Parts: sequence; structure tokens; C-alpha cells
Amino acid sequence: MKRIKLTCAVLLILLLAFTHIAYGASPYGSSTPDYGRSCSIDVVLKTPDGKPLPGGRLVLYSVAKLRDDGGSPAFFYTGDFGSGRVSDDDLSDLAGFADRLAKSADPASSSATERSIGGTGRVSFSGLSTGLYLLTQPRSAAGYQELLPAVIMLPQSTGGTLTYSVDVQSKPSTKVETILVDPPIGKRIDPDGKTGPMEDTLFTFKMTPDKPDYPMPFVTDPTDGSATLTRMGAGEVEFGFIEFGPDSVGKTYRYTLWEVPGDNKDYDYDLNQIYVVITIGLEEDGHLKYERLMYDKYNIPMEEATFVNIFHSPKEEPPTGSGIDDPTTGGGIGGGGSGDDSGSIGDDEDIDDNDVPLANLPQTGQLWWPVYLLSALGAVFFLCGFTLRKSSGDESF
Amino acid sequence: MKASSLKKKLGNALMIAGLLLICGAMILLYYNRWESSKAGLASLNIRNALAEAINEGTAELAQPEVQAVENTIPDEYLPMAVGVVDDTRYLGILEIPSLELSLPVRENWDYNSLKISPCRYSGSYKTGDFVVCAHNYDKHFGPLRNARAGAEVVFISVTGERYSYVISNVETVQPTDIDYMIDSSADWDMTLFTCTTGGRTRCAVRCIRTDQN
Repeated sequence: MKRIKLTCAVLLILLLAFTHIAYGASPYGSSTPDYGRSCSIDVVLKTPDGKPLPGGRLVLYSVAKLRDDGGSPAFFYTGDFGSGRVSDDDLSDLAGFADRLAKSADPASSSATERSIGGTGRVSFSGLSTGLYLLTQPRSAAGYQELLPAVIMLPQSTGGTLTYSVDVQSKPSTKVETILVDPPIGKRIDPDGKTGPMEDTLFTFKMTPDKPDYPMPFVTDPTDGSATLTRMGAGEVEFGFIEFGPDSVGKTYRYTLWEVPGDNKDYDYDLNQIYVVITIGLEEDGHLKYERLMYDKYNIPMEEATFVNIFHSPKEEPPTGSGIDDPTTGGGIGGGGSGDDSGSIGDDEDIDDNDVPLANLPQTGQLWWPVYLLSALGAVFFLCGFTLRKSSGDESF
Repeated sequence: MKASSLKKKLGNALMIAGLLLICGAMILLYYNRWESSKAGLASLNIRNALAEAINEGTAELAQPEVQAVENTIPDEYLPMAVGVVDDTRYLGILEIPSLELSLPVRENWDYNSLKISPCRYSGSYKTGDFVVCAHNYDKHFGPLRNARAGAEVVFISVTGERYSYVISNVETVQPTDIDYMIDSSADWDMTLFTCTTGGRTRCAVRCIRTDQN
């Protein structure tokens, strides 16, 4: 009952405020406002059937303070939303005023106070001074629309703490929430240390899902559901956002990013493969969230997938191989140069790993056939020699 | 007389050449034996150090930030845990009881690493496409030629998790058949391969997990 009375009182005051504004009089009539009185705002969010609606966040911005202006109270901006006195035009159209204020509102500013909406659906802002406040809901409960921005005018107090209390019925949202995930991919070109300008060339990348029915930013290969992207030179490679909806909750998706080796002999192409793992879940308030992890085929975790190509000056003979496969470098870099730890085939000591294309499984056998061959040849030679000596008639040697 | 002398000289030359060739064969033989023995000892030392660390739960993990983070990504999609021994990264220990093999497995392969221990060639034990290669030393994958279907294989990760397998089949693969060797869609969870005696082909031992639902 008391609450209803208070609410009515507030509404009445608001009505009086509007009336006085329309006729150019002080919004607070002839009484002297108590500029220093502490106020509070209570908001309770409910479902259409009247139950408390937890989840989401509210942000309250201090827009203007109520001050004495030549004997009459007036609202003066706090600084984040403007300077000087709040115009009567704005005060006569609070809905439009709220929309305009919301466009420039910064939740990180000092005038903003953020509160999460708990299980009771109630949010309280206390210790407020008289003035103008902007209430926004940057994040609603899952399945509900955000509240429209609202300007709340805290008038003079009549004694004690004045509470502006309002029950808000949130509207269910018909829009299906989705979440967008964009794997960061970069491309870098490194010179081989020799002089000469680097020529530009086209690089091609593919994103292949583990299963063809995974969400993809776009699909160019219907056989495996993969996406292909080309890029000239170095820089960022953007496949775009992958969109996940409520049916993805609890699921994990893995994608493989890789560079398609080109035919420019002046370049070594990056043979690394980078895995992007995305798991979709739910926040406590029911909104979608995701977790992403990236690591390459060498088991190295990374924040960004970067493919590296080595450019060889056309004056020098480029290596016969076309692949970089250096597992010792992390960060998604296929690495370049002649690291000892590169994994290519062939004898290890004598051949630079970048000189041999990765066309065969590694040679993992000891050389035993030369033992047999040498033994056999040696035996044959020895016997032949012995026979020759014997046939020459010389029996002692 | 002259012909006889020529024959004698030629015969001597051939005998000397034959002896030299046989000496060369012996040298290569002993070198191979020495290399094999050295590799066996090296992998044994590493294996013991790794096993002790795993048993005591003190294996120095190279990627603790992945293992320690509370996340929603299922374990099978996470990178493999890596333990560090002598500044070298290992994934765990591979055991084949029927062949009396217990060997450490390095995170990635290269020819220098293959001289010390078996190495991961591709894939992950978590995703069922784990491929491990090693030289055919007596103490490494040489005994694989005697592997039989139905034999037990166990892989123990550096975090102490055991992955049990059974050998499903042993086959010969051409060295150019990389895709066939690592085909993740095939009906196996782990493959071990090494060179056959002649070195021209690869002996691949396919294994299937036995401890998965």
C-alpha cells in the first residue's frame, strides 16, 4: 500500500513536473528542493505471468544533477552526456531524450553503475542524489527483449529516502539468439635474408570442418563443406564469422585451417595445419557463450593462426622442395629456414630438410642391405681372386 | 709367364678388394649394432625418467595453461599433454608387453629425434588418429615385424591416463602412401610404423582402442 502510494506520489510529481515545464514554470513548483537528499531506484523485472525474471544486466547512468539556478531548481548535465542545463525540449519528450542519451552512453564511464539481475528479478540503485538518470538494459534474460532506455527523474524528497520503484514486465523475444565466432588468421611473408624486392603473389587458404554439416561462414566445396579464401600478399585472412544457435549448445566443433601450396617457385608454402576448436555453452543467465582453442599439428597452442611463407630472391636458385615443416617453432608458424628439427624425408645429416619435398614416409630403417651386399661382393671378389691365383700355378702367397 | 704373372696380380687385387669389402661390411655391421644399442639405452633412460615422473605425478608439463584452465572444451579436443625430460618434449610411454617393448614417445618427429626414441608422426591419441614412427632398431620398433593381431598395446600419457589398444592387423605400406598411413577415417585408432628389413617399404601395425564405450 505504502509502495503504491509512493509510486503514485512519484507519478504525481512527475506529472506536475511535466505540467510546469509545459507552462515554463519551475518543475518543482514554488517549494525549495532538498538538493542533498539521498534517493534510490528499485527495478523489478517480471515475466508476463508475473514471476520474477532473473538474468541480464541493468546500467544506470547519472545524466544530470538537480541544482539551484537563480532561485529555481534545474537539471545540469554531469559532463558525460553534455554540458550546461538540460533543455526543456528534452524534458518534454523523455522517451526521445532517453533514446538519444542511450546512443552516447558508455558503460565504462564513471557515471555508469552496472548491476546484474539476480534471482528475485530486483535491482536496487541506492545513495543517489536528485537528478536525471538513464536506465538501460544492455543484456536481457535469455529469451526476452531488452528494456527500452528510460529517463528517470528523481525529484526533491519530502523527507527520508525517496525510492523510485517500478515493476517492469519484460517481453519475450521472438528472435533466436545466435553467437558469432571469428577465428583470427594471419599471413606473413618473410624474406630469406637476401636482398631484392619481394614479389606479390596469391595465397590460398582452406577451412575444413571435421564434419560437412558444421556451421561455416560460407561453403565453396560441397563435397566436404570446406571454405576457400585467397589473399594477395601478407596481412589478415578473414573467413568471417561462424554463427552458432541454440541447437549448438553442448556441442564442440573442430575446424582445420591450412594453406594450399601454390605454384610460385620463389616461395616456400606453409604446410602447417591449425585446428580451431569451438565449444558452445550457456552463461548463467541463459545466454549463449563460446570457448575457442587453437593449436597446430605440432600440438602447439596459439592465440592466432599465422601462416608464414619464405620468399626466395629470384636471383638465387630456390630450393627444390616447396614446403616448410618446422615443428620447433610455435605460434602456428610453419617456420622457415633450415632447422634441424624439420620433419622431411631422406638422410638427415647431409640434406637440408627444406630441399626435399615431403612426398614419402620417413626412412626409419637401418642400412642393412649394404652389409649383405658388401659381404657378398667381398666374398665373390675374394673367391675369384683366389681362384685366379690358384689357376696361375702359384700355390703359396 | 707373363700371363701367369698378370693372373696372379689380378687375383691378388681381387682378393684384397674382397677383403676390403668384407671389412666394410663388418664396419657397417658394428656401426649399426652400436647405433641400435645406443638408441636403446637412450630411450630406456628417458622412459625410466618419464615413468617415474608419471607415477609420482610430478611430470613437468609443457603446456600447463591448457591443462589447468577450467574450460568447457571436451578433453578429446584439447592438445595432448606434454612432459619435459632433458629439455625434450614427450607425450607418454608406449608399451607392447608381448614384444617386451616400453618406449617413450616424442611429441614430434625428425631424424635426430628418431635416433633417440619413437616419435609421433601425426594425429593424437585423443582423437583416434595417432601415428607413431620409429627406427627398426632392436630396442625400438624392430620387433614390430613379430607383432601379431590380438596383442595388447598400451599408451600412458604424461598425465597418467592409460589408453588400451589391441593390434588389429599388420600390413606393408609403400613409402609414398602417406595418406593411407595417416587416414583418420580408417578403422584404427593408432598406427605404429617402421621400415621393413630392406628399407623399401614400411611395416604398419594398426591398433584399435579397447577401453572406449
